[in-house]
Amino acid sequence: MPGFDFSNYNRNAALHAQGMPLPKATSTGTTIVGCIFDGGVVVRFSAIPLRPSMNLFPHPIKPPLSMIAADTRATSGPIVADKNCEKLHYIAPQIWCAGAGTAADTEFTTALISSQLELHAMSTGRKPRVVTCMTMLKQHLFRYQGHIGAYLVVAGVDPTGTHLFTVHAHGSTDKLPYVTMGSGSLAAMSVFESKWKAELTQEEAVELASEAILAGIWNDLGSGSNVDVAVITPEKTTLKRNLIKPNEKVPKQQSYKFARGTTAVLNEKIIKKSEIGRYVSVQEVPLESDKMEVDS
Amino acid sequence: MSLRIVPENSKATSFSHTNRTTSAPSAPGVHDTLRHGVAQSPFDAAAGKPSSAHPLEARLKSWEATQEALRMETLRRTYGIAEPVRRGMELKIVRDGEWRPLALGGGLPSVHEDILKGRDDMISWEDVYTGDEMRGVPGVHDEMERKLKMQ
Amino acid sequence: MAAMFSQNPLMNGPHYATTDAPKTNNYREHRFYPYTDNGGTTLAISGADFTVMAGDTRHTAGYSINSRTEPKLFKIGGTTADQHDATIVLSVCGFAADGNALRDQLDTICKIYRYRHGKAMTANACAKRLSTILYGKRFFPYYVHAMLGGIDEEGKGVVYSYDPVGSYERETCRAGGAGGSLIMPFLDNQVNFKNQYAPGSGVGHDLQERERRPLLLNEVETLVKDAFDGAAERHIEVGDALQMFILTKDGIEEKILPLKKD
Repeated sequence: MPGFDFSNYNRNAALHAQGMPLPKATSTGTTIVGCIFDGGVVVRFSAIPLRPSMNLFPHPIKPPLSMIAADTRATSGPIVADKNCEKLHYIAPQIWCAGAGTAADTEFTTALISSQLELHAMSTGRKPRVVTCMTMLKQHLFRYQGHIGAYLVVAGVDPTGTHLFTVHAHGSTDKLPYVTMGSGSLAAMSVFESKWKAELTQEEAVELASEAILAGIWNDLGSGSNVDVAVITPEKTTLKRNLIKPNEKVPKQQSYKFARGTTAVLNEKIIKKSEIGRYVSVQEVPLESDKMEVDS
Repeated sequence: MSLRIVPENSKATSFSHTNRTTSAPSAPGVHDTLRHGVAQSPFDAAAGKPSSAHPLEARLKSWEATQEALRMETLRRTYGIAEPVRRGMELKIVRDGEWRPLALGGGLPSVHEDILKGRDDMISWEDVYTGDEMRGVPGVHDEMERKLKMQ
Repeated sequence: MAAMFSQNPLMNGPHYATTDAPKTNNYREHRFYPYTDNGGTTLAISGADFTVMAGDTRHTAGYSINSRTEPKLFKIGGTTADQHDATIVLSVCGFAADGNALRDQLDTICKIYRYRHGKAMTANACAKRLSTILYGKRFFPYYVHAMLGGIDEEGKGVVYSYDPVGSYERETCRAGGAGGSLIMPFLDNQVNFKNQYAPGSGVGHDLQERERRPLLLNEVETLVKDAFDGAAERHIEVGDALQMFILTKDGIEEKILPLKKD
C-alpha cells in the first residue's frame, strides 16, 4: 500500500507489552530561535504591530529582515550522537527552516515540503510564499497527529514581506517577531524577552540570536556545541555555519598511540599485487584520465 | 451527508492477520506469496482496510476519502448533484481508460487522475513510498488476469 | 525520568504510539516515585601508595542543570566537621539526596567509632561498615553507586566499589554513574593494560600480554583528566568541573580542573 508502512506495528506493540524497549530515535533536543529585525532602518516600525501605536508607518520604507539560528548537538538519550549537526534546513532560496524534535522527522518533513513548494511555485509561476510553506507544514503535521515529531521555526522573505512562524508537531502555529523552540527554548526566550527590539541592525540581530542560542547551549543539556545562523534578506540568504564555536575539544594530556604490534595478529595472509587479479577484476587506467570531471 | 473535515476516530480495537483475501482461489485462507508477494497489494480486497491497529493508519487510510467527500458535498450544495456526478464520471472514465502494467506502477494514479483531483502539483509520502518495493515482480499471467479482470 | 521535569513535548520521546501498546490491566497507576537521577560520573584508581578519587561537579535533573559546583566526593571520618584530618573519601553518584544522607550516616558512624575507640577507622573496616549500611536499606535502597577510597594498613591505595544494596569489592580502578560505561573500557585498557600485547614477543596465540605495572601518580592524574574530557564530550550529564582527591599517607590533596560546560 502506498504511504507509510504500518505492517510491523502490531508485532512491535506485542513485543513492547512484553518489556522489549522501543528503538531510540536520534533527537535534536535543541535550541532553535528566529527573529525579525528592521536591519537598521531609522524609522520606527514593527513588522508585527505589537501595539497599534507601534505601527507608525503603514508603508515602511524598507521591509524588515528575518533570521534563524540553531545549536548543533544531536542526542540519542543522554549520549551526544552528533556534535556538529546541521539543524537549519533549506526550503526555498529565501525560506529556511530550523528543526527540533526527532532528527529524521525534521529532515524528511522539510525535504518533502521543500519539494512541494517548488512544484507549487512552478505550477503557479510565482515565488513561494512563507505562509504557503507554513500552511503546508501545519496541514501535513496535523494529518499525522503529532506522530511526526517535527518542531519547526520557519522564516523567510517573499513578495509580501518578511515572515516568521513556528510550527508544532501537532499542527499548531504561531506568528511572532521573535520565537524559540526545542528543549532550550526557555533559556533562549529569556534572552529575547530581555533584549529584543524591532530596531536592530543586522549585526546586532546576529549577536542577539547567537546569545539566545548560547543560553541554550550552556543551560540546556539537550543543546550544545556550536552556533549556526542564517540571515534572510530580500536579496540573499547568508548561512553562517559554525559562527561561534565555544566548545572546541580540549586536547588529550598524552598520546594514546600504541606501539606497532600491540594488537595480536592471529592470522595473516599476504596477497601479492601480481596475484590480485584472482580476487578482483583489474583494469589499467591511462594516467591523464584520473582527473575527475567537475563543473567549473 | 456530513461536512466532516478529518476522518472520525475509527481506530481498530482488535486486529487479525488471517482475515485477508490474498489467498489463491484454490487455497482459501492461505496467503499466496507467489501471487501477492510479501506485502499487501493495492488490488487486494483488504487493501482499503488498515493492516494494523495503529491509531494513525486508519486515519491516513480514510483521509483522502473524507476530504473528497467534503469537496463533493460542498459542490452538491452549491451547484446541485450534477456537479459531483460529472466529476465522478470524469474520474471513472480516466481510471477505466488508463492501464499500465503492474511493473510500471500500474496501481498508482495516472497523471490524468492527478489533474482531475487537483493533485498534479503536489507530492506526498504516498508518491515516495508507493508500496511496491516489497511486492514481487508481476508475471505476464498476473498482468493479463488483471487486465481482463479475471483476478 | 527526564520527562518528569520537562515542560517540553520533545522530551516525551520520538512519538511512537507507545500509549497504544496493549496493557496488562486497563488502568494507569499513579504513585509517588521517591527517586531521581542527578547524573554525573565518578572515578577511582588505586596505586601502589596512593588513591585518586575523582568526580565531576554537575548536578542535573532531566535536561536542566541544578548546579555546576556540587561535589560528589566527601571526606569521611575526620575529627571535626571540616574533615582536615580525614583519611577516607566517599564518592556517591546517582540520586544526590541519597548520596548526602549516606555520607552523613557513614561520617557519623566513623566519628562515633573514633570517639569510642580513640583511633580512626581503617579503610577496610569503614568499607565493611558502608556495605552493612547499604544492605540495611535492602528494600528501600540508597539510589547511589558508592565508592570508598583510602590507604590500607600496608600503606597501599585501596578502592572499594558498591552496588546500591551493599555488594562490594576491592578494585584497582572503577568508574561509575552516567559516564561510567564510557570510561570503564578506557580504564581496562590503560590501567590494567587489557588487550595490549608486548610487540614482537611471539606469533599469533604465543604473543605475550603487556607486562602489568602499577601506575605512577602523575600518570593516573593524566588518565583521569583525559577520561573525564572524553566523557564530557559525549555524555550530556557530565561536565562543568572535575574534582579530584589525591589520597596519600600524608593526607588528602584536592584539585579542581575545568571541564566542558555545554
